Amino acid sequence: MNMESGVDMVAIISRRHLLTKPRLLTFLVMIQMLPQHPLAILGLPWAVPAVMLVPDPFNDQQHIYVFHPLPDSLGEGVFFEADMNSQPVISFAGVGKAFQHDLTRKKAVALHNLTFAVSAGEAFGIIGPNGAGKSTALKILMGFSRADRGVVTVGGQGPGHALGHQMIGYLPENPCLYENLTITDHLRFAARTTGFSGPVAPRIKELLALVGLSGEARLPIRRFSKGMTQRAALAYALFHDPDLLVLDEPMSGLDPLGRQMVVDIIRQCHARGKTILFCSHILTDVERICDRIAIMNRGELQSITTPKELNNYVIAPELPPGTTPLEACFLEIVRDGKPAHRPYPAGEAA
Amino acid sequence: MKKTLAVAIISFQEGLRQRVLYGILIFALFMMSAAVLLSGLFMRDIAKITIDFCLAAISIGGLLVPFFLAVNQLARDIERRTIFTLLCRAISRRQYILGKFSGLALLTVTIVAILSLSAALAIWTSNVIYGDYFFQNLNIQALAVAVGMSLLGVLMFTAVVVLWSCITTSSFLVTLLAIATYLIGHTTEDLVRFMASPPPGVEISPMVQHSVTAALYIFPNLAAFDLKLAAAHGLMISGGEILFLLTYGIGYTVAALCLAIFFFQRRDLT
Repeated sequence: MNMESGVDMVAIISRRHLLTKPRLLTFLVMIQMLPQHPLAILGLPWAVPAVMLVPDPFNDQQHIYVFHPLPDSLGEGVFFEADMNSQPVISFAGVGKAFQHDLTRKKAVALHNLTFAVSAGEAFGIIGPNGAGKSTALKILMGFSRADRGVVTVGGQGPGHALGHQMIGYLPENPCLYENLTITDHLRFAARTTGFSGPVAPRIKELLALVGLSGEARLPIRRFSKGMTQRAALAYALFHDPDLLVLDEPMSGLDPLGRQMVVDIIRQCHARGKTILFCSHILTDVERICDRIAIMNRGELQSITTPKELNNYVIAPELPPGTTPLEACFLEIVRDGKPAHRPYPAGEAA
Repeated sequence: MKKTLAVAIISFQEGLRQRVLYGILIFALFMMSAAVLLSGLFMRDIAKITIDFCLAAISIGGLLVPFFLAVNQLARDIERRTIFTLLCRAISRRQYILGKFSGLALLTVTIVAILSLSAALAIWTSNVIYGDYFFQNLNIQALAVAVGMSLLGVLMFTAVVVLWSCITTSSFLVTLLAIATYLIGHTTEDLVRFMASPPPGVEISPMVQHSVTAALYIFPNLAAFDLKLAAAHGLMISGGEILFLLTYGIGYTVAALCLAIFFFQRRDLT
């Protein structure tokens, strides 16, 4: 299992440890008091993954705990306390999702045991080949799709919760806006639904200038090119100046100029302390923007690394010259399952 | 409430700017012009034919909202993933469904209002052209009730289309189900009446009888809201009947929307 940096693992617990650790007892007592926890009343809190905010009984502080059951073990799991200096805005704990074919009833696993957390102010990128489960993870985070197992939280709320959504600006993959409406109509709708308190017209003007669509304010979306639609959707996502940006392939369909523009906007947001979670196929963009990069393959999180760690990555000699460390790492993971030349793979400490 | 209204406004705007709406209006206006011209061919029934034509145009114009716009706005919203644009805001699925229905209802009311004005103009023109003699039985109240009930019937049918959109995964299937619902809704009442007094020598199996009765209760009884014939003859239905239709229409619409919300909240939008 991968444990990312920013989260300190405390202990691997089993039933016999429970009585010896007062903090764990507090955790278990608290978990019993959470009515939304499916197994709380059965007294089996350790059977399912959980992310909990627990008040410390000895002082006024609160602790964020993540409990992740180990696969194929009853009552054992990884129990860790999140770093309080960088509270996770997003957390995935043991998330699994499978899609069933309507006719054949055959199941295809889209996500398996996905566990990671994104801290406030962090730029976190997810890369992976097609079908890796990146978009599925983001859809679960947004509450569009439900996880079969595991726990997902956004800003301390469950996915799809209005309070969580209030802080999110979401850009879907291949964004579809209403084609008979203008971008101005969409932004006015955003103003009505996000509780934006400032003057709307100047904000619309500002955003259209930011994404280079000032001249197209009155044009219906059906007349937009793919790149223009992508930029319009980004303006829509940014309208309420969200604290968290969830971007699914934000650079797809953009020309080099448009790509640079979007990269600059994301960087500006990041510099202003916004949390960014995005997935992309374009590895160089991910490398340019992200503080941490997760690599997914076949629904599983293979590794979490940082651009700094990648500097020390030893590129396999058989790879063509000019291959960047991230490309090399990505290719090895996707091709072989695990990178062969990892100097210190993420989560090794776990 | 504010968010539901926001979804209703954007749905209404999107509906207004769809070309299909202009097609509906042109078609209905054409039918009404035809009503004025063709009614002259039926000298004894000029008023009846004019009113019949006008009410049919209103009914058809209204029906195209659930058949085209509702399917377009809901099922295709999910198919094309435009729905993410709305749901990524702090809008719950309940607010989305209620907002969409309200937008469609607003659109239906707008279309029916425009068509009703055109119908009034057509009836007035016929009256001027053919004279008062043919319009002695004209009952404005009965006409207003017929238009109102037609509107309620369309709203009820729209709620059912919303329900189908929440259950099925393709817009084509929603269209098929909408057509089936429309046909069943317009025929079951006649079938029940036929079964109540079958012609001599005709035996209807209890299985068929139960199926038809079940269909009458499950599907919306759209035929009950069709008061064209009574209005064309200047006949007014009773207050009790109006009250019953109002209760049935509103009750059925609310039930269909509740079911739609129930299913939609459990649906995976992948």
